[in-house]
Amino acid sequence: MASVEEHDKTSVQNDPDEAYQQLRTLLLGPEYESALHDYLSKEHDAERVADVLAQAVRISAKEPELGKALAPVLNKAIQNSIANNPRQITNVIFPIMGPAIRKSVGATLRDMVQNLNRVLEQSLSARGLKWRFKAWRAGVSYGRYVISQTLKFHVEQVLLVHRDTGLLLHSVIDEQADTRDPELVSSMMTALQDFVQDSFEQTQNSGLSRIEVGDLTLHLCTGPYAVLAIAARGSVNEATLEEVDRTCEEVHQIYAQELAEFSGDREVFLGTDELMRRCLLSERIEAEKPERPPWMALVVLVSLGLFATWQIYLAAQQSSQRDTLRTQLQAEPGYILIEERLQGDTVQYEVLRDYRARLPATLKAELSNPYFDIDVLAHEATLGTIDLDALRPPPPPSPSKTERYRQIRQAINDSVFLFNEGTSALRADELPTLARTLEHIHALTKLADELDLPPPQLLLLGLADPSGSQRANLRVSQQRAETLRALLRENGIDQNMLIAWGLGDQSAIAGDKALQRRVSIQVIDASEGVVAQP
Amino acid sequence: MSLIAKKVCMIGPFAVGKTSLVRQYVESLFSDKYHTTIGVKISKKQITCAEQPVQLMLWDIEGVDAFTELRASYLRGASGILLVVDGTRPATIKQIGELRSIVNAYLDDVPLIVLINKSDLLDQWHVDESELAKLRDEGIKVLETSAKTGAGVETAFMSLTQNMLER
Repeated sequence: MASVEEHDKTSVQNDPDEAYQQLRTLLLGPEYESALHDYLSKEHDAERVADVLAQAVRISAKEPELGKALAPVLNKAIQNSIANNPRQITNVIFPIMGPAIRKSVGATLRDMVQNLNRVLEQSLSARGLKWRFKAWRAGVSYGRYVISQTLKFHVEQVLLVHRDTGLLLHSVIDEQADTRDPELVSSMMTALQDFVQDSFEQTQNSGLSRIEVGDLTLHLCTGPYAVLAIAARGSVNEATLEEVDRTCEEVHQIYAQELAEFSGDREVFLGTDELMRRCLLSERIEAEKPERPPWMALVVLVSLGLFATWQIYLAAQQSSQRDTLRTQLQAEPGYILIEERLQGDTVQYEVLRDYRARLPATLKAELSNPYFDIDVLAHEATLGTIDLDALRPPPPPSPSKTERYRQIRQAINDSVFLFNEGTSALRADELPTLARTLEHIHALTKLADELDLPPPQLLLLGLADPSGSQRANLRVSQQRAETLRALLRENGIDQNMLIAWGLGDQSAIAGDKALQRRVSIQVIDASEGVVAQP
Repeated sequence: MSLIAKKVCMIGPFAVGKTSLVRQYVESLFSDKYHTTIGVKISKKQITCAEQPVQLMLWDIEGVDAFTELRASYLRGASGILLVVDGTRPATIKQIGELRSIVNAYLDDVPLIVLINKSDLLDQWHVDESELAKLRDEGIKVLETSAKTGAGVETAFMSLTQNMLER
């Protein structure tokens, strides 16, 4: 027995852990082992936490701490998700992007009209001019003067200053404010605080809370590590000061470690920007009335609209006036319109004018209108199509010969030479016409001689069909007239008798295009009085 | 590399030429009047040391004499000290020890450089080399500067910045 005890004692002495193990097993039984296993295994930990995680989050969601703690994790997670699979996030946000963009564009346009209105009101109204003058006299920028007049107060700068070093950690500045170097200002502000504390034996935690200089006030919220200061013009309301205190507390809460360990690297405080921007507040003197329509902007926009409409109306009127003038000119007997040109306010008409037709000056007077000045550039010619019976002098002395002369003249006037499309070469089937016409011309010359009339002249009028540009048509018609002149000359007609003239396309002559590619002949003579039609 | 900011204090006896020493090398908004009103004038200087851009906020603290003691609260948070004395006035050099003890009482072992100013007036120079040697033995850097010629000023800034960044 003694030996057994002896043995046990030795084993206990040898391995106390083992003995402790034995004792535990005896007291707690086998359940203990599995409980211990569960406790040590991470797997079970994860399962346990998973069971209560959702509930825990729900409970903690009531407090802001969870959101703050999760924010960096979520940011990182979103960053990773976008980096790994941008398409997925695009698909998720796509349905909300469209409406958001539309809303934003709408809001921007509304703001633009409102801003335009404000600018117009400020720059054109009597009050605006008065303010401009006063700002100039006071030597401040107009923008700042307007702010001073329209705002009860306006926070221009928010500075976050490290308390010990006086170094500026971050600053946000309102774009309308003209501010000095915030780094120097923040250091000087700290020095001033130290000065006041030293001079009046204040404790560390009861520094300056407000510094007033003219209409500028610095409000300081002093935290354990940093001072949040706002520089404002006018009298700041209570809500703004509360916002400053809240922001200061929040900055200390979120950046506690960074502030405590600050050694000059300010980049870590860039994140305070959003928090600090909340303090850039202002309050208008006259509460803005959004329901009031932006009259000035509306008046300007409506005026612009009316002006544009008037311009369009004017252009339409002018265009229709030109159509009328053209029709009038084309209907005028003895005139053929060659070209119409608009030079400034003047419309120039280049025309062929029969010397018996009305004088260009008369026509010009008739065409006068409120929209354009008229200029008629007339080339004199004899055009056969005019019925000028009334102008004709008494009957001819020798009826038989003059009758023949008239017939031949008519035959020549009726002759037409057709051309192939786009060329100035006479069609082969026109050669008989050419031969017949040559005979007629010779006969006419002879008869004129016998009748003691001055030798007749032949006006060869070239025409083109309307396809192609006006310039090209004019050229080809001229070439066609020249072709006929050359053919007649080669066949013994005195070249002094021949005048070739291209008229381009005369769309007034309707009908077959083939018939429009032609040269017709007009006999110009002094025989009107002699060989007049009966 | 992002810009690092450091507060540097410049201290010294009365009329040793501290303000003149840095005037051409710094940017400032404030006039010298600030010295006589609140006892400090702040300016800034940007410097690049070993590729690290550093913004030095330089607190030029008013000179110390029998009637004005160093306003120690202005030293709070400083990362480096420039202690300026006048090489033509031995009394100012004797004040180094006193000023250093104020600094050491207020700040935990920050880099400090002693600048002996007015090196352009070497003929009137009354510097007890043994005292300077004692400082050097303690590991304190001693540089000679001149507000008139600008000699040694940039070196002083660079040397102090280097020491601060090594901490």
